[in-house]
Amino acid sequence: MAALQFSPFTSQVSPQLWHQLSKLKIDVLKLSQDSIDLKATYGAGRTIVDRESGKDIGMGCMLSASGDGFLKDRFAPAANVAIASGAVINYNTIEEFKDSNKKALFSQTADQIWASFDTDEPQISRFLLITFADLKKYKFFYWFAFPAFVPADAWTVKESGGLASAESVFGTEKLEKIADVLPAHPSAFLLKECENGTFETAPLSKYAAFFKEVPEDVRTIGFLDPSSDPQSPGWPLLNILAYLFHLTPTHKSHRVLAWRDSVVPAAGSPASAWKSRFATVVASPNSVPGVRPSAVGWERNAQGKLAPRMADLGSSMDPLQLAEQAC
Amino acid sequence: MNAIQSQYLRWRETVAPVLRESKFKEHGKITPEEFVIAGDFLTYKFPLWSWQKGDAKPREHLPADKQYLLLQGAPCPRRATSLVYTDAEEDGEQLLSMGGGSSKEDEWVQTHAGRTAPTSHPDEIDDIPDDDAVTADMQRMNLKANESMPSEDDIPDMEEEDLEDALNSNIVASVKPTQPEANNNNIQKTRKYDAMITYDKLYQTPRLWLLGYDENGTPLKPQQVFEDVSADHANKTVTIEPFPHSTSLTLASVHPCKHASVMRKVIERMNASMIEEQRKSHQSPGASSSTAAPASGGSKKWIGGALRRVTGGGTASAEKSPVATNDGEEEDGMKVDWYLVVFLKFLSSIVPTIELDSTSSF
Repeated sequence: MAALQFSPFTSQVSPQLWHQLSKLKIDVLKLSQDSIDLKATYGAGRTIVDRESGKDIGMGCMLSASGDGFLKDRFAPAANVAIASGAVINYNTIEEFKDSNKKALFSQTADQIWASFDTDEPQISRFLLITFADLKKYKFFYWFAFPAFVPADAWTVKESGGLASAESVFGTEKLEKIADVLPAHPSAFLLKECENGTFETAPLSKYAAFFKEVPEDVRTIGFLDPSSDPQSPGWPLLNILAYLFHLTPTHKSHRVLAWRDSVVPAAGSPASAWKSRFATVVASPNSVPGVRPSAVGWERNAQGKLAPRMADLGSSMDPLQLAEQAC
Repeated sequence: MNAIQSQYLRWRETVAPVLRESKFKEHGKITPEEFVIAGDFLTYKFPLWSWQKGDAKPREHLPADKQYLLLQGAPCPRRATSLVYTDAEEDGEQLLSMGGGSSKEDEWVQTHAGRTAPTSHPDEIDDIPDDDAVTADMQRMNLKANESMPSEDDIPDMEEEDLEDALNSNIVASVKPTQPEANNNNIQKTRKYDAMITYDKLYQTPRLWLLGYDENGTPLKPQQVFEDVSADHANKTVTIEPFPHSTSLTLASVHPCKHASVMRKVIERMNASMIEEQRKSHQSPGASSSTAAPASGGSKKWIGGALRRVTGGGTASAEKSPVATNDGEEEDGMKVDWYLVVFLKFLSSIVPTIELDSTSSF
């Protein structure tokens, strides 16, 4: 059994977020360094066919954040994306940004996720964003953290070839039926096949009631998978598995459907059209329930280092540069 | 100057009357109501698109929660400049016959036919030769693109490797994107675009806006977007203007002054071939009695066939049929629902390398 690897989130921040943050900073936050709520989204991992080489190109594992995420009444995510909530802490100076106790902040966020596991609404993909806005130079320094619980012994995949294609497990007809019953904003859900061949879904926290009559070997956990890598599921699965292990420690093996088909392939398209993956994920027998596993998840920058990223919005915010570009 | 100009443009759009009468077949223009219908259809059929409210004052001629359409993260694997046409490729041209066209002048030239993949790696596409026309154009615009690119020096040196002492390399796949050889997967770093479709009240057509991100997720400068616009349109029909549904964004946009006439031509042809198909189905014995609304499944088939003929297949050569029908039958041709789907196909000629169009299966 091979250890399962997970694709970490990469943040994609719309310039609108920085515009909105600047506005908040000037009008509302002022010198406050309290955390503010932000909602971000991730969609199913996308793969496109390169028109010239004919090869599949994966789009990675993206979490998109935009300015709308600050505004409860403006936030209008597409129906088939999952919503991740998070907290933003904006520091007043670059020194405070540098010297902030990142370990403590991270562990605080991880604790929040862990605490939510005992409620009906587990926060699978909560994130932390620390920022410093250099409003005079239109430069924004930022660092995302996506805390995910990692067991001491890695999750393993039962299938010998790693993740299998969902089509080979379910078949086209069943996948189409599953697509019909997917909840709106499906981050994670329980899935079972009814006697009449239809499918039903339920939130994760309903595990015991929903799967009461269902034999263990056909219970399926579905989640919206932001990863496009055929062999590694996306980051949210780590917390989903940790949650399930916390909820039902006796079930050490889970059938996982990594849903990646936000657009259902049209009938008659090539056989490889379905992108969803399937795996039976097994916990290590040494795992101990009830103890919070350690968490990882600071985002690496473009150079692959554990360091913040920077967005330079001079070209779209600086009045001088805007005037220069005008013809 | 720019401020005055954009104020003027904004004022001009504000005072322009709202189009009331449906004219999409005659002029290629649509009313705000039709924009909402077509947008609803697009978001239903292709849920990667979604309606947005925007953070500016809502436009009154559109519902508050349906101000514009958004597609996030459309991949753009290569620069449009890499598609620049060379003499050597003229041999690859093929004549395609348009859907309703029977005469020679209706044939379209398909370029790049039989073109093979370039040998260069997509990661290295940034090396556009300096003598390229588009690059030269951009340099004239005094961009200082390289000067203002975030350099490592600007970012405070605060790498903190010890933050993740628990990081188990067995858990994380492909954490180091700078080392492609360590990636055994198919993930390539490409530019991505957020595409927005707004309704332009002045020109009474939809309008496309583009917000680009480079391979590392850093926003592209508006002028870098020109590298992804086909050379015929860069700096001509693609302009940089304030985005109407945001208080702060300045984005690249495909100027809509020619949209109506192009859309009219495409719709005319599609309409003709659809009416033809509808007529055929009416003439067949079983269907002639049904004067009720055409079955939804049927209309999908009609447009499917028509679209294929107009946009790509090029094998059909249906006879041109008169557009006007006087017998009051159900031959109503293309429905306005499809307007935006057709619009996306048209846009793919302007931004050929941005994968806006997930509608190819129709």
